[in-house]
Amino acid sequence: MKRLILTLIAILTIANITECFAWGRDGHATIAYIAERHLTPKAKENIEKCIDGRSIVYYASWLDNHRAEHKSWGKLSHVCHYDIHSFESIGKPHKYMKSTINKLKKYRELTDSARKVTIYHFVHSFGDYHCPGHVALYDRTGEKPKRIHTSSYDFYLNAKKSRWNYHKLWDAGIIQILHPDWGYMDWAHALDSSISQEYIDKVTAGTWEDWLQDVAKTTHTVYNIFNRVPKIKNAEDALDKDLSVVDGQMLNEFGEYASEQLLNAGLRMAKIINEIFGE
Amino acid sequence: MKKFIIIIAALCCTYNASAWSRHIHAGIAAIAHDNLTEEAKKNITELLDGKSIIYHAQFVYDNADNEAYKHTKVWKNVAFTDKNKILKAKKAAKHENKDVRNAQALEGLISSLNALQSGGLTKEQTRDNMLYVITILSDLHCPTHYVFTDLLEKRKSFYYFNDKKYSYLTYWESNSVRGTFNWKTNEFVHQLSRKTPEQVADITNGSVTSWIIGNAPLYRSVYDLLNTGTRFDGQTLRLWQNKIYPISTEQVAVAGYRIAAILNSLFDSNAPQVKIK
Repeated sequence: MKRLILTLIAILTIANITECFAWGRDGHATIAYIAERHLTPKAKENIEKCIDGRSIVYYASWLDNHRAEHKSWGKLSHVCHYDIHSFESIGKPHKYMKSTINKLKKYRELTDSARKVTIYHFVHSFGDYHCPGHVALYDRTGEKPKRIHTSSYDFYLNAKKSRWNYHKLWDAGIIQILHPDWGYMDWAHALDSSISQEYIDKVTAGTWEDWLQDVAKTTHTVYNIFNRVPKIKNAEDALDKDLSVVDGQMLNEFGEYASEQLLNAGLRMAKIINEIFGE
Repeated sequence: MKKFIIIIAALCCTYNASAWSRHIHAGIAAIAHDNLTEEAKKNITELLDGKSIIYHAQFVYDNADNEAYKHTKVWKNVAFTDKNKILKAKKAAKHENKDVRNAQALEGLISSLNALQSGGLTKEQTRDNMLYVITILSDLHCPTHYVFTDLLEKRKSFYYFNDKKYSYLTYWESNSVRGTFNWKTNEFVHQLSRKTPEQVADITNGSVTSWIIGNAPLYRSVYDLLNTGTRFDGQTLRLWQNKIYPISTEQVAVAGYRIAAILNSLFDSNAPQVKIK
């Protein structure tokens, strides 16, 4: 694991990775590809007609790539906020997702360009909202809501060579740590080749609001793993003395959560696309 | 750690020296393979002793140090005048600029295609000529292989990102796709091998020479996309890359379809014939 982490650090350095977005390119592409594998032929044909015959995977990170050209998109909230006790949604992202899905339902009435952009938004943001790095939990029992766990939680990987934070770990980091050489087809093959219909039915039961609430509950569990992360002892740099060290075992646990969310997001995305474009 | 970084950097440099990087050559060959007729695929697989063309996607570069293939060293580029007219190999060979001197790729391509079309080659000669065609036709869909004699200075264009200097041509060869997509070989096929029959007919219409000449105006315009010395930060680099990846990914697809068309023409007697000139 130590060697793997060192390798990752080197890869990230050489690749000049400066953009950190939920899941990163590979994660978003994996979610969209898993979704594509579960589309009905009719839904696949219809949605691809709307995007010039391309695969939805091609546009999985379009929103991240083109955000700078559309300043208003930068204002869209990419973090879902939930009450830590009731897991009730608080904040705007649900409204954004609701409006995107409602627009998709009326895709035949949209102009070509509006239809395309709505699909790009959906394919990307639906993946974002399944990323534990994009969930914030609040305790609202006091006078003011208190953010319980912050996504800017800083820590060291066990090599102590690289300072990371929670958000960066989920934004592509965890996927590249687990399998730096895998493409989206490798991920989909590994996660989606032998799942049962029972699993698909269970994960796609309910509404999209239920699914995002499920992500929030999962995120709570992920945060709890951090709570048992040991603090650094005898840190040389006093400024960093409170930072924690995440070891290989914990990374494996995060990897399990990441894999589950990639798969679930793909299956759920397919369900929505099938319902809307399968007619 | 330091050693690791140096090794990776060295590998990157090696790939940069071979035009489209290795992953793009493999992607183009995979698109071509995906569009071969069954008959062509069978004949080619026999020729390659069971391997596919993807395995040998950059044959010319993999054998650059082999004495037997030294004549291919000048089969790198194609040179054009300021009027987008091809500079003949004889003229190019005498030019003071090395990139122009190496602009004999079209002649190399044509000689290999003529040899394959006329037949009478040994199995080894047929294999080698076919693999030349695959490597060179791939490269001739990369703008850096088009040397415009009036834009020689622009070939030295560079940019800065986070205060580090990068070559524009190297960006095209290595990062014009990877700057946006992390595709593996089969993923190039999934993303780009999805043209309609009408689109394929349009892409493969004309002769091999007309394809190369037809690429020139677009590849000339590529030099307008960068003011040399531009300093990028993360956001401006992203905006700039957004202008480049639609061109690079389309050229990768076009190269794959055209290689398939010429291979089908050569190795399947029932496939439509592609003219060389």
